[in-house]
Formats: sequence, structure tokens, C-alpha cells
Amino acid sequence: MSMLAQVTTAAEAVALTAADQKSISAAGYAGLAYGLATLGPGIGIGYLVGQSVQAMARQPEAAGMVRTTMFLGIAFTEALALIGFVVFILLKFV
Amino acid sequence: MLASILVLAAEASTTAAELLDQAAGDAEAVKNPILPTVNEMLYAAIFFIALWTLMKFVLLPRITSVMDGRTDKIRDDLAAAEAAETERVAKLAQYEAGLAGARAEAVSIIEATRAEGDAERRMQITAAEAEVAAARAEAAAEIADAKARARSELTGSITDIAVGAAEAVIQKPLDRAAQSRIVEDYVNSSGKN
Amino acid sequence: MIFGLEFPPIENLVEWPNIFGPADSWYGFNKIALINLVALVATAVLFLVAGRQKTLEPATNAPKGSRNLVESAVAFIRDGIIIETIGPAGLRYLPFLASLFFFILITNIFEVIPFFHMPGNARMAGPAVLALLTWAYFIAVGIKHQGLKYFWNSVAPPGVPKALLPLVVPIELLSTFIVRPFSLAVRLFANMLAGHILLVTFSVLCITLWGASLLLVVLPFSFVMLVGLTGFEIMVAFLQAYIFTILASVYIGSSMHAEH
Repeated sequence: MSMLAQVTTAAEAVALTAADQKSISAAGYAGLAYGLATLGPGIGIGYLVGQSVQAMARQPEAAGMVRTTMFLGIAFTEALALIGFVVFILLKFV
Repeated sequence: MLASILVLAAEASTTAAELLDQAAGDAEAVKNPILPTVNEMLYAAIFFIALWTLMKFVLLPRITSVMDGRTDKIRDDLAAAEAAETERVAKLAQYEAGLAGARAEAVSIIEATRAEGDAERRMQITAAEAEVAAARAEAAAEIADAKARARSELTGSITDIAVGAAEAVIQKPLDRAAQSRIVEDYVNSSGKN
Repeated sequence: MIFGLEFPPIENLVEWPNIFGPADSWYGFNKIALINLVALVATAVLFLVAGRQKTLEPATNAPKGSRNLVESAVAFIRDGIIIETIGPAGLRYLPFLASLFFFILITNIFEVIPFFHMPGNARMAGPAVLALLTWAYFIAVGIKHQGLKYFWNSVAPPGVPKALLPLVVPIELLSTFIVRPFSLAVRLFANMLAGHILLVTFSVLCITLWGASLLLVVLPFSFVMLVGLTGFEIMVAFLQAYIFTILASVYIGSSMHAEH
């Protein structure tokens, strides 16, 4: 019976460390996931807005159309970063 | 034996996990903050569809009818303004045509008057010149007349003097007619020089 | 807990107890539902007050006050969104898109309204419902305009070589019918949740720094940041309403005709 108690405490210790391990690594990966998710959209939105500003400066009469298309493009590009944010929330808090 | 150990270990691990959850202050099952909940979806759907229906049948028609009315009015006003503008341009063209006609007429009148004045002037000049010429001719005739009279008088007296002088020199009467011809020739030739 | 900074767990930030109805029931009415109700009532009242001026013959006058506000917003949706993306044929979708815009804008703007301080769309429920309705709406428009050929036209754009179809059809199927509603909902939800967490972070920082004696010098920076972010979030609230509406408009417009 004393051997069983020993096994129980050992299993308890293992379980605790496993849970801790999981939450710690999840928290770490959460930051990593969000950090990686920002890279592409950051470059993409910068390039997109820069080109749009150039287009508007060259053809101010087409500025309205360019602006609408720019917002559409930002919306599509930004979606990746936001999915990264959702993954961050899922890893960190769930 | 081994089976019972494993069962106990599993029980222990579940109790440990429960303890961990309680320690985190989250006794109930972990709710996912991402997933939508049914009650919120229900109310969002109800209120949005209510807004959509209201918007379609009540709210938006009142706004858009007035906006469309204003757009129509603006379009009509613009058309009217354009018509007025066209009319104005036509009137301006007409006025300018009249103005150009009047100006041409004035120019022609001025030209005619000028030509008339020229003719008058030329005529008067001609008349004056003719008058002057007549006066000059008259004066010349008078002069020639006077000259001729003076010359004939002069010729007579010279002949008399010359014949008298010559008679006195030669002591004999001379042929008066021949002498007078000579003198006359001489006077004429000297007058010519 | 870092330097006495006690950040509340995320459940406390976004989940609200029911005002009436038992907890976890399917009809529990909580703060999010109240915000949605306010969005409905506020939009309706605004439009009714604006529409009441009809007796003053506004057709002959320039719009004033609330009518000016509402007419500017409607003209913005009509000329800036529908005409730009669909063209004059899309004007019949104005009620749906105008309700989308106003509903999202008002539920978003509660992020910065005192005593609420909670964007209604920081919960997945609202965006999910709106995205599903948009999804159903653009499919319905597609079926109405193209019949059942709409599904084939939308997954296999005309002009694609037949050999590429096995590659194109799954991608288009995924992107049109699954990614579209998902990205619509997630974009709105994640933007508002991120803004909410950002504001909460700086508010918590301000409160914590108020007590800390030495770190009090940092408080003005944190406060200025909070004020600036509040303005930024107002812009984001408007921008997300605009983007959701314009994307819905683009999706509806793409359903009307087979892609070229």
C-alpha cells in the first residue's frame, strides 16, 4: 500500500509539471505566433499604402477609386494579422 | 496490480488537474472567450434583422425620397440655368451682331461724309484756282497792254527825238516813216534783250 | 502579476453576466444584447428624427442638423460604397448595407462610451451573425441573378483552362464560401477585441501607477497614450464598419455577374 501511495504522489507530481509545461509553452508560443503573424501583413500594408499614395499623387483625379481599393486591400492583408491575434488569444487564454 | 496502479495514477492526475483549476480561481469549466454564445447570437440576429426591416420599409424611404427629390430639383434647376445661359448667349450674339451693323453703318456714313467733303474741297480749290488764273490772265493782259502802250508812246517820242536830232545834225529833213521803222526795229530789238 | 500590475483574466473583460434570464441559458439578456438593442433604437430614432423634418419641405432647403448627418451618412454609403463597388445597379441593396453600417458603427462605438466601455463586436456572436447574414445574402443575390449556375460560375471563373479546373475549383470553393464569411467575422471581432484589450491595458496601467509612488512620473505618458488610443479606437470603430460594409458590397456585387 505504501508503494501505491508513492506511485500516486509521483503521478501527481508528473501531472502538475505536465500542466505547467503545457501552459508555459502555450504562453510562449502565443507571443511567437502573434509576432510572426505581424511580419507579413506589416510589410504588405506598408507596401500597399505606399503604392496607393504614389498613385494618388500621380493621378489626384483617381484618388477616390484608389482609396476604396486601398481599403479593400488593407482589409484583406490585415486579416492574416488578425487571425494571428485570434490564435494568440486561443493559445494564451484557453 | 499494474492495472490498479494505472487507474489510481489516472485518478490522481485528474484530481491534480482539478486542484490546478481551482488554484487558478476558475472552478467552472473553462469557457472559450473566442467562440460565440447562443444568447448573444440570438439577440444580435433579432436586433439586426429588426433594424434591416425597419430600414427597408420605414427609415430609409423617408430619407432617400427627400434626397432624390432634392437631386431632381437640383437637376431641373441646373437644366433651367443651362437654358437661361444658352438664351443669354444667343441674346449676346444678337446684340453683338446689331452692334457690329451699327458700327459698320457709322463707318460708312463717316466715309461718305469724308468723300463728300473731299469733293467739295476739291471743287472749291478748283474754283479758286480758276479765279486766280483768270485774275492773273487779266493782270497779264493789262500789263501787256500797258507795256504796248508805253512802248508805242516811247517809240513815237524816241522817233521824234531821234529824227529831230538827226535833222539837226544833217541839216535836212529825213523820211519820217523810214526812220520811224528803224527806231521801232531798234526798240523792239532792244526790248527783246 | 508584474511590478504589482494585476491584469484581469480575459473572461472578466469580455463576458458579462445576464441582466435577466438564468446564466448560460439560450435567452439570457446581457450587456452585449443591450448594446445591440441600443444600436437598433439609436439608429431608428436618428432616422425618424431626421425624417420628421419632411414637413418643413427640406426638398427646397439644404439639410440641417440630424437630417444633414443622416443624409451625409446615407450619401456616403450610396456614393462611396455602393456606386464605387457595384455601380448604380446595386442601389437596391442600400437598406441592407446601410443597416450593416449603422449597426456595426454604433455597436463598435460603445468601446469608448463611458459606463459601457465595451465594443459589442468584441464578442464573436455579433460579427458571426452579421457575416452569416451577409454570406446568405450574397448567395441569395447570386442565385437570383444567375440561377443555380451561380455556384458553378463562382467556383470556376470563365476563361480558366479546363486543365486547371481541379486546382481552381477547390480553392475558389474554399475562398468564396468558407473564407469570406470567416474572414469577415474574424476581422471585425479581432479588431474590436484587440482595441478593447489595448484600452484595458492602458487603463489598468494608469490605475496601478497611481498607487505606485516612484513610478508616478510615468503616469502622464500612460494617460496620454490612453487618450490617444481612445481617439484611435474611434477611428477603428468607423473604419471597421466601413470595411465590413464595403466588403459585403463587393461580395454582393461579385455575385450579380459571372466574373470576367
